Amino acid sequence: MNQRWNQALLAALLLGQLILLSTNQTSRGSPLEGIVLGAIGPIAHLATLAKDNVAGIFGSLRMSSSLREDNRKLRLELEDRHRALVRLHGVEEELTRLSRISGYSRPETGDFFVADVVYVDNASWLRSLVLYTGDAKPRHNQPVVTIRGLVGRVVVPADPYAKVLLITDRSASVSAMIQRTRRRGMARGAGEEFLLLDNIPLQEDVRPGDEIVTAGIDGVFPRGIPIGVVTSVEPGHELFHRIRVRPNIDVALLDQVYVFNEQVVPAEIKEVLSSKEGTPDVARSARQDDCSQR
Amino acid sequence: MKFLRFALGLALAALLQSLGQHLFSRFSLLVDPFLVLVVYHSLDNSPAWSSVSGSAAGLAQDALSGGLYGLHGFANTLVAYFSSRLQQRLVIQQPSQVGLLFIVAAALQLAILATLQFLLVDTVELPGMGAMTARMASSGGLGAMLFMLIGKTREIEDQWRTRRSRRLKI
Repeated sequence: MNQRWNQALLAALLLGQLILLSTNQTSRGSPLEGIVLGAIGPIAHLATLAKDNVAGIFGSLRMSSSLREDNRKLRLELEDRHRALVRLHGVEEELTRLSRISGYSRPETGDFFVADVVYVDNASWLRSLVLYTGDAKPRHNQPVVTIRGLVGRVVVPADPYAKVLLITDRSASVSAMIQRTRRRGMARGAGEEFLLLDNIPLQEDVRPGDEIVTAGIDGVFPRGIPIGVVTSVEPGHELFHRIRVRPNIDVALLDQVYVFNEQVVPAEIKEVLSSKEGTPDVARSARQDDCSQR
Repeated sequence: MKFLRFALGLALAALLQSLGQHLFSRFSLLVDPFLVLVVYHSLDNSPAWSSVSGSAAGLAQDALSGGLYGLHGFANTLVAYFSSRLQQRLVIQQPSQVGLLFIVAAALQLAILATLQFLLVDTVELPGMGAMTARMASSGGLGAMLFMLIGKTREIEDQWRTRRSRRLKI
């Protein structure tokens, strides 16, 4: 009887988890995952705080000797940045003036909030990044960036924590374009330290060193966020190049990221689109397209 | 009490995993504190309770890792059940045997993860052979160490209790 009870319980647990596995194969995480992440997030956060404090003590001891030199370097850098800022202000003014003349209204850049990275695992085969968002409430599909480039998007919001799907993950894909030629393609994670840029025809001019940025047409990521740099271009299957892209960000070095509040496609439009197309959101439809191409 | 001990162990495993990941970026590839907790816990408990705790630990591990939610939950449930059944049948008490059990459990977990990935997402992504061997070895080493350490602590506690009861009798 006891053994039967054990086996029945085991079967029930396994069945429950199989159902869980089969139901969360979409881009949206399961509610249970959000709950568990909310419970386990503080522990990951505690580890980050402990590490930061220990590193801070050793860092301040080391830093005291090089403080004067660092200060001098930082002042020089600040002057350089200030000059660059003045130049950029000029460029922005000119751009605004030209936009006004031509009647072009640029999309708003949108606001963002800063989030701390409390857990990062980019080495194992199950890449993940957990953020602590503090007072800001994370939402599904919010783009996550750093000053160097695109990191990924929020897949499991569990206020005040959020799990991020990295762009290097196999299941991640972003509409991207080659900055030099403006040719659009689909950048997708290869599960390694690089991305693959798909759907670029063989006749298209692509060179190693070309900058890849977000195209802003997938309904998730705004246009113009740097993704990475082309490292190799080879003739691929059928009519397309096989292009490898080295991401601009190094996930192992991330400690803070910016999370965009802006919704690239307003919710109302998304609803209209999804009711027309019969898919829940634009991102998912883009994803499905990508999967079918694969 | 059993539940509290397990919850504390789970919190410690999550803390160790997070700290290890901060200190060494390939930590989770080589060491699996959740698996060590699950197998150790199943040595002292019934298969039913082991399955439940394995399931909980696996889902907690899934919350921290990418991929499909429930992969580790499923794998750790099975690993916990089989470890507990094996312990009941073979009465494993030597540290070397315990170490071997942890190695077998780590291998079983990797095999289940690979099978699930193959069935559900068509692409099997596992660490390289070296990392898998290191993961099994670290699980075996950590498991045996944990077993010896807790055994020693219990021994000392028993001795202290015996001495105390003798003194009270006098």
